[in-house]
Amino acid sequence: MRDYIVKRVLRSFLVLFGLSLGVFALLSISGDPATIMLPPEAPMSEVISLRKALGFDEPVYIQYLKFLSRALRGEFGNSWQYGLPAINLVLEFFPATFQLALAALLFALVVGIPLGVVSAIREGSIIDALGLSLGVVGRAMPSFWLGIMLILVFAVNLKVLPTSGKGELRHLVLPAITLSTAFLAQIVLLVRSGMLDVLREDYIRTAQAKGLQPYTINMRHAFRNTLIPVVTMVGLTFGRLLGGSVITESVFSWPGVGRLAVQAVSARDFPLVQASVVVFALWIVLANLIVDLLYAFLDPRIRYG
Amino acid sequence: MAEKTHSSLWDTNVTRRQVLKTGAAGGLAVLAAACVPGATQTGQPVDAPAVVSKKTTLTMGIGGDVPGMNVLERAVAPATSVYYAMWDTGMEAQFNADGSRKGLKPMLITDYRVLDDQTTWEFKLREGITFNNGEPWDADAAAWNIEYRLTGETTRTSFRSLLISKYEGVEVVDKHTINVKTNIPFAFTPLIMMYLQVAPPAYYQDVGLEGYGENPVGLGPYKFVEWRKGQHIVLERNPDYWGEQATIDELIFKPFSEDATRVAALQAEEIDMAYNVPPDDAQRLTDAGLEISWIAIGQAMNLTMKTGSNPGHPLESPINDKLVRQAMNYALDKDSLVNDIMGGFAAPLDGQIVGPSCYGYNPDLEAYPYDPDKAIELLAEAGYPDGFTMDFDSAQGRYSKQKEVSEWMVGEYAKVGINLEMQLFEWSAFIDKVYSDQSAPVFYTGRNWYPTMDPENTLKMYECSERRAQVCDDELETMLFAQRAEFDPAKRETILHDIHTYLYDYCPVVYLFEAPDIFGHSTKVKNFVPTPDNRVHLIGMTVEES
Repeated sequence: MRDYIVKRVLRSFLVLFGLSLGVFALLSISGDPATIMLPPEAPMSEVISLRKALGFDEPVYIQYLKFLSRALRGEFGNSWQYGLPAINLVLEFFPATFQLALAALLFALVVGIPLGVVSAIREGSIIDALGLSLGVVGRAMPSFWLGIMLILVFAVNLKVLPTSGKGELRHLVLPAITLSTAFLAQIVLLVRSGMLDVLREDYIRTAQAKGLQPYTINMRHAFRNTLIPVVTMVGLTFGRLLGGSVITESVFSWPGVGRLAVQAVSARDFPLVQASVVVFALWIVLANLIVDLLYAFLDPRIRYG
Repeated sequence: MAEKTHSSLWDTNVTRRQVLKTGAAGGLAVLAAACVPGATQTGQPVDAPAVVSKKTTLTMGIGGDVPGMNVLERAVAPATSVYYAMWDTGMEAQFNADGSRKGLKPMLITDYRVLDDQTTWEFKLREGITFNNGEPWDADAAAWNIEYRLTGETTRTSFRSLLISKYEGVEVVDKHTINVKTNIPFAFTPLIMMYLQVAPPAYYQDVGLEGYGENPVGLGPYKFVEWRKGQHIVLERNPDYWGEQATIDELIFKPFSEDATRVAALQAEEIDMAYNVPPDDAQRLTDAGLEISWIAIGQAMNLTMKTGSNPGHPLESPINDKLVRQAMNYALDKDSLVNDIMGGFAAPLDGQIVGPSCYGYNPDLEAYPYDPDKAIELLAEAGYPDGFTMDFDSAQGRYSKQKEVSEWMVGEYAKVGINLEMQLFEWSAFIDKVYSDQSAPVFYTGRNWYPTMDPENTLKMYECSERRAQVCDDELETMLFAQRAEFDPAKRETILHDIHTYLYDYCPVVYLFEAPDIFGHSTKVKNFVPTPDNRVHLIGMTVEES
């Protein structure tokens, strides 16, 4: 197990290295930040001197090596917009993103799992049709559109929830629902199909033959066996939820890293983009690692060498 | 020990059920802790400060996050909305009720004149006023602020950009007088002081660049209270302000990068006033009992053409021919554009790159009439009887209805045989192409004359030496240099009229319209008068208690 973890951690470093190279390359070809950072009336001499000050007069590979050596020490330089250390800004905004992702995850589980279970037990019923519809529609609905619709209905017309911003628990409701919808749909479909498969297994028939209560059969024998892939997906999706928060955070003015990163990309704020991406990537790599390790724990048949 | 814990977790001492339960409970606990009202990542209260009874508060929704409060380093929208409340400028523009230009209002600078050498500008500073921390506003403070901006390594303000290539130095004459020296006679120098917003030197040097950005001290009608990054900025009325006192006690600025959310927040009464309301939402807000205030600001929306007269531009291009450029001006129905696309929230340009709010506006010029037949005729005369095809760059996300206006132009030009092949970019990618002169021969953009309400900056793009010059024309350049060196306002105005007349014929752009500033606000907000200088003048505004 320990060897496996060491191997995975080393591989994660490779992933981060590749990612840093990718981000750097994309930023390098995305345009000259000096022209965007300066007011439009700035003379050419100003552009040249800013390029020099930012190190853009050096060859790209030198710029990358410098970036890499700093990044390894956890330094990304100061954000060009804020004038503050980029990594500090990202870490300051990260808890809000984490909170939103966690809320979305819990909402998806609390609603999605029971709906999936009931859909499977009552296959063909109205609830099943509802669950299936939610599964399809939820995945197809763009989160931008859904977010605006929820704001219009619950904040503007019904006035029961705030439109945006962060503060009390009620500020979290609409963005969490928006962010969770696609995942919720996945959970419903996954639990439903998993339950249907398991309900046809021999051991369920055996349990029924033993005269067990339907509730005991469904929950203890069927549902528990359905949970393993769900837990795996939860881990993987939690990483993705953080990334998916980019749109949700912008729509709901949620002060998280997603919105910060979007603004940084628009302003070509390289240090802030790099710090955001690396923190996101670290999180996803970590989430994947935990899931892989959990796998072995949850399913005793899986062993790592 | 660590290894033992590790193995106990992963082996059989702890059951799967225990881990799952612990994990679920932990998740809920983290979420609950994070959601407790008043708890934030920094452990400080998150809600906006409680409103004490009778205290009037104006909550404003602005276009995005304000990345820092260091006015010496960078001052761009939407941060400027906040900065104008906290920092007076050297001078500011005054307007008549119809939005036309009235002249200058002395603020931190009370008077100025050019000395006989025509390169030394003497500025008299307002006496007896102090920064919010008690430091005096005097010649030393003024000189330090100017010098910091012009020689600092990190500062990137418009003040610096406009002055740096002409700046020779600043000197203290007496306690309330400074001299600013330029390397050429430069009539625009005093107007650059309209960008001058100042920090107290001793405090700034004490707390440093980052410290000042987090806890700024200004000199203006409002004082800094709190900046919660990505959430809000709170200012309070400065009771010691030297000028007329503001009526509203507290200002809260909230960032909304999405227009739809900002408008919804206004409808939900979470904010009192929204900046940059899209024209399409204006009617809906009015129907909902809210008010819309708008004005045409100092920004000329135009289809810019890179003519071959600039050595850097292609020599073989239809738009090198003046007749083609004129045809392109005749081919568009500006009234239809303003009414049908902009919803009536714009004012057509009168065949010149500035509007009536700008100094030097030529009242004798009129917009090119809509005459597609004349356009076809001119195209044929220029040798393009079947029209032509040309690349066209535009963007979205910056100007009001940017994409729709661009698409409308493509459709309208097709009617006279001009096929514009449009590429639509994200704003910063577009502006990078424009600034590096890599854009298509024609592109849709805006050109500003606010906040100075003077055309110097607007006309600069027609000088050969400019880094993004679209035009290089000897006769035009002679006039441009002449207005710059003319210190008599009346004579300078005559030269500017001539320049606009020349440009009317030359057509370096397709003149479209003056862009709007559209605000939505609740009926509680009274005495709000939008002005063409793209700023909200808070003095005199009131908020009625509901």
